[in-house]
Amino acid sequence: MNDRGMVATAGSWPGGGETVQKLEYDGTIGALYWIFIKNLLLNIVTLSFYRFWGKTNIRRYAWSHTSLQGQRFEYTGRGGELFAGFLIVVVFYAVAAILLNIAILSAGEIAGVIGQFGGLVLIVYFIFVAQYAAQNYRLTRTLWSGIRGGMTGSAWRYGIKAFLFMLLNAITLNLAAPWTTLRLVEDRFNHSYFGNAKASLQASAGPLYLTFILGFVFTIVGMIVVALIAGGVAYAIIMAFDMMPLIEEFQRASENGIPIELTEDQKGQLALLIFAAAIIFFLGLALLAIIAFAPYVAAMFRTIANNLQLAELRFSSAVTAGNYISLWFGNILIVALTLGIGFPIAVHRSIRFFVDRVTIHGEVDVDRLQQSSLERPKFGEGLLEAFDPGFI
Amino acid sequence: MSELHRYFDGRTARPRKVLLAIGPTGVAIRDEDGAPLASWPYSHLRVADQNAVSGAYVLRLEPDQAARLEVGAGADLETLLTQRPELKRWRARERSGLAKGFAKWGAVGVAVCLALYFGWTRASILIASWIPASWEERIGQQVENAWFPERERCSGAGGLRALEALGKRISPGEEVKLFVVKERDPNAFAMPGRRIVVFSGLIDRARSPEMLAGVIAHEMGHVEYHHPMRGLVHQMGLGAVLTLIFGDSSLAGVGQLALVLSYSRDMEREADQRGIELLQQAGIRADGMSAFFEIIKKDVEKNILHDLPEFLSTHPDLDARIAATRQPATGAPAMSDADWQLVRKVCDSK
Repeated sequence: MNDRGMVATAGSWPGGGETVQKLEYDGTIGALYWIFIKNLLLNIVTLSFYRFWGKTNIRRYAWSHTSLQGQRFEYTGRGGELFAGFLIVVVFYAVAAILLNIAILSAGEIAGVIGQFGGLVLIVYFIFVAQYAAQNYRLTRTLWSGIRGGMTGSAWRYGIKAFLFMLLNAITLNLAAPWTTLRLVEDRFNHSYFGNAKASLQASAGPLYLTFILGFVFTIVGMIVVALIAGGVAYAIIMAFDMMPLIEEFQRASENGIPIELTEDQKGQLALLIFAAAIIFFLGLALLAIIAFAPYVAAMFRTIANNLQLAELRFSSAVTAGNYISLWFGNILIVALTLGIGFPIAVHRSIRFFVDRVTIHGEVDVDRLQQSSLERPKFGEGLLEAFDPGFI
Repeated sequence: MSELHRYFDGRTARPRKVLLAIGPTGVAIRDEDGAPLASWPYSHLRVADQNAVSGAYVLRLEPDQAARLEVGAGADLETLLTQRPELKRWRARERSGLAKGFAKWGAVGVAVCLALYFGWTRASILIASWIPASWEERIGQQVENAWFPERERCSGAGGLRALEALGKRISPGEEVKLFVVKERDPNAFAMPGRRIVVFSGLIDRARSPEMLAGVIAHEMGHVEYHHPMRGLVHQMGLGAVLTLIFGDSSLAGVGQLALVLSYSRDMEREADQRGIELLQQAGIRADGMSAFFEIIKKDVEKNILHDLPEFLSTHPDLDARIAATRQPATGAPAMSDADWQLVRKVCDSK
């Protein structure tokens, strides 16, 4: 498919008098809860097969409570479309898995390992293909002012590109990741349309590297610090309860293979020691995972937002690492402390985060924005659904 | 009536201010000057959404061409809803539409599953027949090595020779590899790549060489019908679908599952019949099969055995199978007494 001739090219960056706006979201946690609870119950009754319709309900709610220039979005997808896509993948996957398995079984050890590796390669490839196809599906099912979106290009081609980039990441010890990630996001955006307006994104990955390498360094240093703290606490406990003789006894016992008897006191002390060290260690690692790469994720988000164009619209974002850390922290705490019941609150926070952190410059020229003539896929997201059952 | 509403024609994003004429059969949409823009008949009119804040109805046409008409709260909306009260119940209708859609797709899903399950039995026969003999041989080799490594096999030379001779007599046309492993259960398997493994427990429990011949003939039946490969392909397919539905996409898991060889009732019946035929063609006394089935049945009833062995695993119609395989006590013995004694000691040298 070629780019259409009637594509609305964005005008020059408006001067001081530019309009600045944001997406408006007026959904409520209560309403989201109601949908989640209904979905949960119906999922239980239908052995999780309701999930396609449940997901559609959530999207319809989120879309129709989001507006741009006072005009609400509408999600026109149907649960049946998602399910049909899933069924097609099930049949295809079953046949592929059998053929591959027979080939693997019959091929002897070395060829068998190669075959299994090939199967894995295929699955990873399909996940990339699915990413693209899912974005296409969602765009074609998004309606605003009577106009819908779409994508040109081929998901299969994108899958190959993404797969090769993954290999490049592996070869470069992940140092290529900021560059490859940005190129893939670019690829998806530059094939995306809303109506006849083409999205366009050209950004340099260079400035991302500072935060990325910072993340690496922070992770390594942080791991050492966490290990030191956990070790220090363990040492303090050992000293406090005078546990050295006990530990020496353990060493002798493991060398001689003789079991030792523990008093109740000793058992309690040991439990405290192991528990405290493990808690500090794992909490520290979780904390580290959130903090270390937050600057990188924030920088990536800003880079994308600041360089994206769609029709007359430009975007910008001043999102910071601190914003991300508080979003993730909050969400993890909410979901963990409520044992999952708080999940809709986390979803609500994530939507709000996105809507609030992106500033839109300019206004859509409603006379120039015309209907998309891109193909509308019949089935939705089967691949993605098969390999990654997310919630939205 | 001069209430203005918003209309999107689905071609450009411009919202047009429109006047509505709500008639008995549909809504006529006109621009501010009264020029007609579109006419939407009630028969194709649907509610796409409702504005949560303003209460405005967002209307569309079926089939959906992306055009939208937003009717704001007011006299026009009142008139429209009096005219077509069912529009007010759009959420309920949508829910019932959803339920219908879900039921429809549920039926499609069940139908696909049933078609897969039953069609798959036939498809697996076809696929198994496509697999080249050399592939099957290698699969058999792998299964053999994994389950019954060389060192666990019994090596009594005289006994093995006698068994091999018996195999040749029962099925002269097939190159079948027969071996014995030391296991207490009275069991025997046919495996891919023309292999039959006999457990020593089976030889111990058989009261005559004819009983052993009966079970071997049954396994030969499986081999001739390609049952091991068919079973393998069949299991793999079901395994693949199950892993997919339950969200695990590791191919390795599917492979593991596929190694559980099991046969359908029909396959067992075919193997019984073919076994009897083979024994008759070889002129061997064919009453051993049913006699041995009977021994096993009693063992299970007396709780000596907890599970039925592989070759009798279709429990419900065991009596029917015994009846179907019952044969007169005529014909040549399966082997000489001397050979039978060697077979009974085939695992002693281990």
